[in-house]
Amino acid sequence: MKRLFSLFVFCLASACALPLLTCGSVEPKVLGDLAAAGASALGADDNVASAIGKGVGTFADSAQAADSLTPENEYYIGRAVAANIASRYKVDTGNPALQAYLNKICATITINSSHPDIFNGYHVAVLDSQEINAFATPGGHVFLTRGLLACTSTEDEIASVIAHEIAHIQLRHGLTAIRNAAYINAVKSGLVTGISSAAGDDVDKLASILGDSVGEIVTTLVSNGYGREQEYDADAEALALLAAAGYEPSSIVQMLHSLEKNQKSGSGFGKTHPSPSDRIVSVNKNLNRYRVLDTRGFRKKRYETVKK
Amino acid sequence: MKRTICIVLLCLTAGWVFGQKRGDTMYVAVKSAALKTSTGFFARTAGTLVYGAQITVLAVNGKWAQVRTVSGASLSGWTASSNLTLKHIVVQGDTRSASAKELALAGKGFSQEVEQKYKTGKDVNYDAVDALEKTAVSEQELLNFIEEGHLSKGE
Repeated sequence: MKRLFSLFVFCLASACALPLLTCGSVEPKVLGDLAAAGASALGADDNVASAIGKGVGTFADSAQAADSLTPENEYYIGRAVAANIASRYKVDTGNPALQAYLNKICATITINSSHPDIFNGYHVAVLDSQEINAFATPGGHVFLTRGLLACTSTEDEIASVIAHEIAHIQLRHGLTAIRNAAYINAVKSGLVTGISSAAGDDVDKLASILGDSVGEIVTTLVSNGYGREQEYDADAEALALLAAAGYEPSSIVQMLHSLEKNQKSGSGFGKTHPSPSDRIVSVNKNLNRYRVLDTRGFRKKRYETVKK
Repeated sequence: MKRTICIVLLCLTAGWVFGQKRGDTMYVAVKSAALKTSTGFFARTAGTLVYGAQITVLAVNGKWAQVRTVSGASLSGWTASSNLTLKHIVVQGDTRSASAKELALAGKGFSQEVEQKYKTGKDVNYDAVDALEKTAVSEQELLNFIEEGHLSKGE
């Protein structure tokens, strides 16, 4: 028995060691696994029996469906979400220097992350709105409002907001907002992923499913919010992203203090996110895990130039 | 009973180990990915991998994978592991894939064709999205930005 146990321990150790050594260790499903982990972390939904076929799927159904999507599928979902956001809000194209600055901050964060690339790249745009808000799509599109940018006082605070949005993308939170049964069934049958080929009327069906699915994501982004757990997870991941990029992780806390002062409860973040004070408590649990050399002084001048 | 549990666990573990070994052959999961001569975002670019291209993984170093293309001109170099997937993605027109039923077809399912249908008659602003996706930061601009700001270089 002891020998058998030793053998088992040996195999387990090999299994742990192998991923570090073999080519097979490249595990692309890590995001899907994270989504699945998120499913169990959220818990409550898992206790509800799957309602597929009746109308609404659970978080676990949604996470499983997300894992089956191709990167191209996610991109087209993301584009449709972005097209809806760009219709509800006006995209500000009048300040290319600001947009370039934001995209450089974003690229610095993503190239230092575990997922430096996404299907068609990460892109940041400014929304011409005084509302304090930010959105990200599964296609790598990030939107920040003028109202939100006005709340920042350093480049690192802007980076903290972008990192939070990148975290939502990399943790695939948007996709888990899709719960409609038609989508989940169409992913399972291979219609969404292209495993079963789309005939003429399937295109109509898929367009309708895309519309409903994107509607669920947009409602989540604009009105309902992701829920506390996913927001706390995005903040925790943002800390790691900032630290890896060389930005000061505690800038999230400074940004949250600014939001506490400025945001209104009925609109923007105030409507869709946990209160800044609750988020600060959550962030502080993980903050001391990161130590980054304080180089903020080197970024002060360029922030002030762009902010003018 | 205990012995049975151990044997079951042993089998499961062994299966997982072998499953990892089968992961040699993977597919490019992004529209285009730079193939670098060494690890690091700012390493010299040796070529470009396109969506659905089949590659063999030669080595892994942190978040980077050393790969070689399977078809077409033989290219090798380093790319981010997250750019690769085990999902079989087949670019349309590639007739070498016999078992298409099990594969995801690029350009099918949620794709450009479905997007065209979806946006007809809807209040959606795809022009803004297209313009946004055209914004690009060159490697040199990004490197200057990172060095000036004393930030990390994606290594």
